[in-house]
Formats: sequence, C-alpha cells, structure tokens
Amino acid sequence: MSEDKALVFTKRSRGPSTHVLLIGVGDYPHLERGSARRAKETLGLGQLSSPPASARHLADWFISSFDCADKPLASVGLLLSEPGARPSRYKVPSGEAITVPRATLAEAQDAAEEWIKRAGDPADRLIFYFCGHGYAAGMQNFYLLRDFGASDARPMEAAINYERLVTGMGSRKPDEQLLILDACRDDVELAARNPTGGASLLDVLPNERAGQSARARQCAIFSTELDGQARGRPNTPSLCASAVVKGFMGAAVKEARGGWYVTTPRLLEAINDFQTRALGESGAEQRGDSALFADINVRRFRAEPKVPVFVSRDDGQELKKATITCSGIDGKITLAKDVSGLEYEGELTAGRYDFRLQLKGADFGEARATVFPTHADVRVKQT
Amino acid sequence: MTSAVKMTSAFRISLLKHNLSATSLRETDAPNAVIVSVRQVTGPRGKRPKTLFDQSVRVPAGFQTGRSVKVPPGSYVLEARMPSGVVLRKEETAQSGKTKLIEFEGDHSSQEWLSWHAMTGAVPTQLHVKDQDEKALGPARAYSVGRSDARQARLDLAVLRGRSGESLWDLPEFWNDPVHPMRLLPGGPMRPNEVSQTRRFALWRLDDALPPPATDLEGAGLRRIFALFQKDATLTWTTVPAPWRTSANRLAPMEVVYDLRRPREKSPISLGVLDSDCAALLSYLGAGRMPEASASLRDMGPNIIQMIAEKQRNPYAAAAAGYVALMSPPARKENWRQWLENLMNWFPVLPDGAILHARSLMDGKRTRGRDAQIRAVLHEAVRRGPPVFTVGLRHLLSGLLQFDGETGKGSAYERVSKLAAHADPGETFLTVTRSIPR
Repeated sequence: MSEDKALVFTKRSRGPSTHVLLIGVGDYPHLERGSARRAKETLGLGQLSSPPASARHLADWFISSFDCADKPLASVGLLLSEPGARPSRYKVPSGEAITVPRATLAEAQDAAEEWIKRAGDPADRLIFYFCGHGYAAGMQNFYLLRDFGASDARPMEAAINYERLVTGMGSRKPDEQLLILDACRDDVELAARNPTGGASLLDVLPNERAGQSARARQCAIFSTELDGQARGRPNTPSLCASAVVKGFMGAAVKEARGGWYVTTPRLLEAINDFQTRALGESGAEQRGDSALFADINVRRFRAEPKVPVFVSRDDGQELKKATITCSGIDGKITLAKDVSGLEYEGELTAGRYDFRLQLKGADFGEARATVFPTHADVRVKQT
Repeated sequence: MTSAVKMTSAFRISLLKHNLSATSLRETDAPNAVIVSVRQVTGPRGKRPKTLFDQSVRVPAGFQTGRSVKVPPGSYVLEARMPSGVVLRKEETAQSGKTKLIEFEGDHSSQEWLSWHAMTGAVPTQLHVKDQDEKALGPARAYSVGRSDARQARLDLAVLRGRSGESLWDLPEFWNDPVHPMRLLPGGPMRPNEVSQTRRFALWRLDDALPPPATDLEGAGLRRIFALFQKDATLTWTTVPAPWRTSANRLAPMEVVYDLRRPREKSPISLGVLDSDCAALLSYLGAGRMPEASASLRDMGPNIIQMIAEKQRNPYAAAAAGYVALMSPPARKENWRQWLENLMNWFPVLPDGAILHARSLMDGKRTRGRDAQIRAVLHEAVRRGPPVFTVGLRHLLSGLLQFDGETGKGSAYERVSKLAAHADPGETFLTVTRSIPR
C-alpha cells in the first residue's frame, strides 16, 4: 500500500472524507507478567487481551459497514500490541492479511503523522480510538503505549498525555474530530508528580490552520468517569467498543433537516446506555463523560437506519426455540425463528410495534413497545 | 396546516423529588434540575410525520405542577437523563386536545437534607448508599471509629483580598505565608454555623458565614472566597462563587457536602449552589454531560449570558453559561461573544472571564495578531488566579499549550498543570486536594 505501516484500508474519495486511527494495546512487555524486563514503575498494571480485540472489532466494522453519505471512509490506520515475538497481522474483510505496527510510542507517532497527512482537507473528519491502560491525576489523563516502562528514568515517556493529544490534533486542518478514549482513569501518584509528562502524538503546528478557526471542533468521549474502570471481557471487544459500533450502526441516530445522522450527543447516550446494559444486574456501573464537547455529525445515513431491539421473557427464563413476530405500521414481520438463550437481539426501524412470542410453536405472550434510539427492551409477559 | 395549529396536545412533566423543602431551598422554588428529552416516534395514527418533534426541556423537581410542553399528537419517548447518569424512560401518547401528566420518580436521598445533592449527583442516592455500605464497610458502626466519622469533620471559610490572584496557583502553600499578597479578611477563617451530620455525611450551609455582598461587584471584586476542608494530611479547597444572585435577584443558598465514602480519586467535599433556575446547567456542566448542559442553556432562552451578567449582576452564572455556549454554540446569531469580553473587563476578579474571551477568540479566523491577543488574554487569566469553574482550568491548560509554547519549569503551563493534577474534574466549581506542606 503506502509507507504508512498502520494503514489497513484506503479508498480515494472526492471531497471531504473520514479518516480513522485505532490503537489497541494489550501486550505490555514491561508491566506485570510481561515478556521483557519489568519496569520499576508498573503501577500494578499487567497484561490485557480486550484492547486489541476492541480495535480489531472497530476496524472490521468501519471497513465493512461505515457508509457515510457526507464523508465516506477514506482510510483506517490500525496499531495492535498483542503477545508474541512478531507484530500482529490484521485480516481485512476482503481477505488480505496485513502486518500492523505494535503501538510503541514511535510507531504511534508515525501512524498519527501519516493519518494527519491523509486528512488534508479542512472539511475532513478524524476519528481516533484508543483502548489500553489509562490512568489519571486530577484532570490530567494518560494512555499507556506498548513500550511504557521501557525507561526506568522516564517511565511517563511512552504514555500519551491527553491534553497534548487533543491540542496537537486540534491545531491540524480537519475541522471535525471525534476521540474515544477507552481506558481506566485511576488516580496514580506518578502522574500527579509529573503532570506535564507524557508524550503527544502530534505537535502543535502554529500555521496549519491559517484562515480557519484556531481550534478544530473536537468531541472527546471518555468511556468511564474518573476513578472508573473501563471494562471488557478477555479476548472480546470492550463494552465501550461494542457500544460505539452499535451507536454508529443506528442506536445513536438523530433525524435532522430531513436526514439521518449519528451525532456526538447521541453517541454519548448510546455508549452510556449499552455499557450500563451490558453490566446488567451486576450492580457495576460504567458511564462515560466528555471533557471536550462539540456537537458534530459523525455519520450520515443514506436511508433510515435500524435501532437495536432486545426481546426477552418477563420472567427471566430462557427463550427456547422461540419465534418472534412483530406488527407495525408496515405490516407483520417475523423477526426471528428458533432462537434460544436469555434474549434475542435484533433491529427494527423506529416505530410502535406489537410483539408476539411463541415457544416451540405455542403462544407464550404479547407485548407492545416503542422502538426508538438508543434501543428498545421488549419484555414479553406470559398470557 | 402549520405546525402551530397541529400542536394541540401537551405533556406536563415533572420530577417527583421528596424532601427538597428540608434543604436551604425556599418552599416556593422548584429547581429546574433535570433535562428531559421529548422525542416523537409516530403521528397519531402510527404513521411517521414529515418532521418529528424533538425537544429537550428543563423540568422542575419536587411536588410542583410541572413543565408544560406543547406537542403534536402522536407517540413519544421521554427520557430524563439525571446528572448522576441514571436514565429514566417513559413511552407516552399525546392525544389531540388533551394534556397528559408525566411524572418521573428519582431515587430517594439517604437523608432529607441531602435531597438536593442526591438530585444533582453529588452524593449517591439512598439505594446506592445502602449498597455501598453493605459491600464496602460492613455494619454502619465501622464509621464511628476515630477519624472515620463525618461528625468530626470541620469546614472553614476564607475570604481573601488582594490585587492579584496569581499566587493562588500555589495553594495550599500560601496559607502559612505571612506576607502573602492575598490576605485573610479581619477575623480570620470563618466557620459555617449550620451543620447537619451523620456518620457518613456532613453538610454545611454557608450563607450566614459568607460576607455580605458588596454593593458594586467591580470595586469589591478583588476578593476570592474558599471553603477549606482538612482531612488527615490533606487540604481540600473549593472556590465559592459568592455572592450568587438568582433570576429573582435573591442570594442563592450554598451548601458544602462531605461524603466519607467518596472514592479517593474524588475530592471529599462538593459545593452546591441552590439556584433553581441554573440547577440543571450547573450540575450537568460539573458532571461532564455537555449535551444536557447545552440543552439546559438553550431552554433558558437567548442572550442568557448578557441577561445574567447585566441584569442579575451574576458574573458566575454568566461564566457557566459562557462555557456551555462555547462548546455548543447557539444556532441563532447573537452577540453573546461580545459579552464574554465584557465579563473579562467588567469583573477583574474573575479569571473565567479572561479564559472565556480567549477561548472565544480561538473560534475566530486565525491570524498572527489574533494569536498574540489570545496569548495575552490567557496570561491575564493566569494572573487572576485559578478559575472558579473546573471546566475553565481545562480550557486554560489547553490554550496555554497551544498558544504559549512554553511548557518547561516555571512556565504558566507548568503551574496550571500542577494544579490540574490535583483538581477533581467531576466538580462544577474548582476543587483541589493537596498535601499540606510540613
């Protein structure tokens, strides 16, 4: 492809387009149980498996499904830190396997530089996603790259300083920038003692935005509040990554000026709703917030999108060979046949529906529900 | 048919909240505390109309008559997204010619006098308090051992006068500095006199302890008020935006709440300004829920910054509105940006005025002269001292990084960074916890 080692997808587009950079850091050689010399300052942090799965999940989805009528996808950059002697390979949906960089500081800076070069139009849109270890000191947030701890003298060296990241990005041409930071925000003393520490992926360029406003419009979403844990199950995408995909698919849609858009306020709602929903009855909470917020459209649909619908039994029992039908203004449709498990996840366009649930061919019950973003929970009572 | 003719039905929406009368709030005040989104799904016959109704409004809490919202007939989803992050959702139908009462019910607070703070998300609700206590502490008697008892907690107030607030960046070092340019007013630290306490929570009402408001804010402006809370070897200070005038030109009550069980990453105390009109704006701003803060500002009407600063003489509320307006600019072309410069010029004690003006300049077309102007205004903000609002510190940090270029030892950026590393990002008003120098 090009000199950009992180580039896993590129497509020429006329006019403004969307450029995505995804970083998933799971393997930290210098942290607890790592494969290299252990750092003096490990902060008690070890190895993760969910971040690379999260970045892969988002890469798959963007490449195969991000269809935006305003700013189509023009490029995806991907960095993965996974265990093993060699860099990871990423199989693009078309089948080709590409070796991607391992998300050291130098590699992340190179990838960010190439990413920004590709997005040369002020009307371009940038989407940045990081998943890995993170920590905080008060209002300062830091994100750990693969080589964190390589230097005992300067342990902060391979951490991204949030403020430097957004300021560097904000000084570049593209006017619309979405950042999703999917990492914990535990307070650590190392950060409190070195608040100006950490690296930037992009320096501030004073003349880059001549003739534009001094700062791009940025929306930075943290997947969790201060002191919060960003959760993910081993080897599977994090709660945030799954929520982001659902949001982009239609859960975060808003109708405006005759079109259907994913907007940043609705995306934040979707992230919160799906993270909370995924934690279910555990009592745990994971709610995102935003320190830097601009209301921007991050996708325009060509047609009305569908909204996630979750159908379950009101009594909490399993669906056994269930058939789910629903009737709306456009008539009756069969949503699913022969499904099992605690709930069925499907999708419908927004509207009022009458749901009917049959188990093993016998009627179980009916429910009326409104399907609307971010999602609908349909609990069917036995009649 | 015009949309005005179509709007023949309405919702009257309220948030049921008990015990607000047990707070410092007047009984007649219904705090507009929560943003409720009213989103149309279908028209009256189940079909999708050409344009869907979609509006977010502030809804009063307490036993009030509610907020009336005229809507076209049809089916709706109404969502109350509380500042705490809890979401309450209802599906409702609006019938032609009828008004439907919609009542959301929030969780109860664990104490009557914590009602406001539970509503704004500063303390957990009754349900969470019980859950946390059982999980983390075991039986409640665990509180009553030595220092781990909120009934032993103490809060002081300090009123400082001086020409420059710059040395406040070094708080708390200066408390012991006898020649500090900002001096305590005669009488030394004051203590709020009304206190409610349990083993876990303490609440102080500041009003009687605050100095009487000066007749002109500009002249008496070189004054900063802080609430100080000491626990073990740390000192937490929070900026007190007094006097805070409400839209009815009354002084808003102020309360500081202490929660012994707050996670160590968060500050142990939280300041609440009980202004019914600005309740949603302030609590969503602090919680980092900018879409709701923005909806709250839109619902307050046009020219809100000008109105607050000019008519009510409340530069603090105007600054809060300014921060939200900058992040999500109002659609209408109003002259509100000019008012940010006025805030800076008219209220020299307010660092936030300079921060807002600098941030607003950043939205204009970039030129070399503009860059120099932004840099100068940012340095003026630093000279005035730490901002009143937490969000201001973030703007200042990022502005200095972009326009000052100096990030080394002794730079303004370094000073601001150091303080930011100890500030609680979840507080509306700047709240900083530092070790007390020996």
